[in-house]
Amino acid sequence: MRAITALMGVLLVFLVGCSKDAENRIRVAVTPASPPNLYEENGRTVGLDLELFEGYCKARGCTLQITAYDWQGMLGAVVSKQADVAFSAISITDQRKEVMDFSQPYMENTWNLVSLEKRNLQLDDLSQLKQYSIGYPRGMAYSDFIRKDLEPKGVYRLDQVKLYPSYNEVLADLQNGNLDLAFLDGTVASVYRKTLPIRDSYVFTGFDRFGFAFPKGSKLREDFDAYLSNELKPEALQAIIDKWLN
Amino acid sequence: MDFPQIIELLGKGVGYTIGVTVACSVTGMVIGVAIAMLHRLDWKPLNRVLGAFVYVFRALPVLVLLFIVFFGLPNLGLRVPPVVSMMLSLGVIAGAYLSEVFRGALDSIDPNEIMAAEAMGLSRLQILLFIEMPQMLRFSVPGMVNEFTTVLKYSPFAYTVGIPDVMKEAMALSAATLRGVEIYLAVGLIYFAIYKLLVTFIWALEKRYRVPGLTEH
Amino acid sequence: MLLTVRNLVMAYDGRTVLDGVNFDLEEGELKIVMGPSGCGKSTLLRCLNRLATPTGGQILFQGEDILRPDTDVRALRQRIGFVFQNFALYRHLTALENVTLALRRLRRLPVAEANARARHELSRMDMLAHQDKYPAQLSGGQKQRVAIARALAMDPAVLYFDEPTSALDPLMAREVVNMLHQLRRDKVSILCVTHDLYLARAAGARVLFLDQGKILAEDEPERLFDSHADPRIRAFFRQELEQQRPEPLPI
Repeated sequence: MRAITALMGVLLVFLVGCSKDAENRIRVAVTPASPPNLYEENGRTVGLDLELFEGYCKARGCTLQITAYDWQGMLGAVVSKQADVAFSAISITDQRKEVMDFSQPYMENTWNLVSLEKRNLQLDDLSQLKQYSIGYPRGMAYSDFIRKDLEPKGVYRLDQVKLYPSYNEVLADLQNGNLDLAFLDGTVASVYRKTLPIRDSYVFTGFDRFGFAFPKGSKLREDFDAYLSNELKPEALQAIIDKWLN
Repeated sequence: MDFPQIIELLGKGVGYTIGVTVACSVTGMVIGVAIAMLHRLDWKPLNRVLGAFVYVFRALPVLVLLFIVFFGLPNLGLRVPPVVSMMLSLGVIAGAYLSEVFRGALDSIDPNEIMAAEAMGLSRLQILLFIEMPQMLRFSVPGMVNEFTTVLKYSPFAYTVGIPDVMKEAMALSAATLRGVEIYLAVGLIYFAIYKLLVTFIWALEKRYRVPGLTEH
Repeated sequence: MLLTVRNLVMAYDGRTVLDGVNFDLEEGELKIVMGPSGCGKSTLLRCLNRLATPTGGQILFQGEDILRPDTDVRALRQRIGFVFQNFALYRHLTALENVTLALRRLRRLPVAEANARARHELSRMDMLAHQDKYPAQLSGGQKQRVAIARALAMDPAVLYFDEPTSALDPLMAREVVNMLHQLRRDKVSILCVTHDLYLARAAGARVLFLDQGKILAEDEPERLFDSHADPRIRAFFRQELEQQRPEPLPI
């Protein structure tokens, strides 16, 4: 008897969960581990990316339903249309473009190889790179970059890379000496630099830009792009970015 | 932020961790008992199917199945909510493992008792329900505790499908405060406390239903 | 005639265990079946409630041919009380629950009524004081009495005993005789399979000698054991007497 009730309960949850979404409610997927773009402060989700999207939402009169996933889950959610949009400093890559649609780029990002200050590592050119260990979280766009740009040039190999669950573990290993160089987004580096004794050993510029990720064929994307170009305008956008980065 | 505050912030995820663990454990029990009972009916073609099912789901990694269910099924038009995805992956896999625990427990039942039940005129279903299941469950307690503990330890995958459990709070908090060591220490303590809670509950249940002389204690 | 067995044959794995068994049992009668080990005594009993299916022959129980394919086997079994050699009590249930199980699940009696009936049977067997004990807490003799109470609870037309004394110590074994006498006084029909000579002698009932798959003789115990015409039968009983402990002094 109790088993049957439990089964009914499960069925009910299933049906409710599969019901149609309310009008004007946008399902957002985030990974709150990328300050200053998306992180949690005192239990609240905050960040540069969120402020931008909230601005869009205010203009359109919609509500946001934010769900936190781990990085893989967040990307998976937008690909499988479980979410209408995802943002947390997501880099626009060709590989990702195959399975999701991006907004126009809203922010330039540098890719920084950082090391502990006290080690005094400064790379003048990339040929010195292969003697050091590089590490970063799984699923980052760096893998693509190393494979397509650095490997062919013999600068570094993908199999030399150490992968970690998140930035926390990367920095922990950097600090205890198990890792020479941590690959960080410029934005993330700016946050960590405030509290950790790290410095930029090498900075890659010009290839990374962030975009808001949408499921393939999303109409929301077109509307959001229109908002960014016509309503928010580049000057206001840059002002918001500057505010969060400093 | 001091240690107690860290625990408090992480504690927001405890309800979800326990909820996911309980949901997947219950699913596992339902599936495990069903498989064990169906197996007992001794229909050869069915046993082959059951055997294949158990084999497949014991071999599949939890995360792989979770991805298939949560991220893959929408391609077939089937949107599965997060908790149900966990039940259909971690829960089903737990069910496959539990069915083996139950199979061993059923073998511990004295076949003479089953023969006596048949001689009484009880139907196969009645024998399953009133003789075999009560003994099977009592013999299976250590195996069940083991499996529920495993379910608890796989519950962090819930974050991958967007359930804000303890791991999610831990990752978000670490990113914001960079105090990974203390945070994960606290996480360990929390999981230990949850484990103790679940185990205590189950052994209390076991004590309530214990039969002298049936299981060694 | 309560039970009629004609030409019962049971063969499997190339062996013929029962090779044309014939006997009858009247209402209220007690009969003992004896024979060398492997003679098929237990198989015979199991055929009588279709726990085993014979390969040939006829069994008429309460006038009904129970070997017909459309026999309601479960209904048949509910009219038969079976007491196993090792009692086969349900280990996870108390003595009372063992007895009430059939009453509640087969007769669908409400709890109170089932308990009342069960307590009646348990007290008949002098086991009422132990109604809440589990089988692990009972001695062999006590378990057997609960098993008998369990078998009697459904008001069966007959009781079959499979080796009632083999799992008991000698003192308890003597109690079994008293119990059989009491059941007889209560007009219960009983078929008892055993190799216990003392039991066979003291029960005071006709003994059937089963050997090579057939009932070779049926007679009063004294005539069967001591002075039967067939030398093989005499030899069997002499050997059994030597192997089993000497007859204990009467109480």
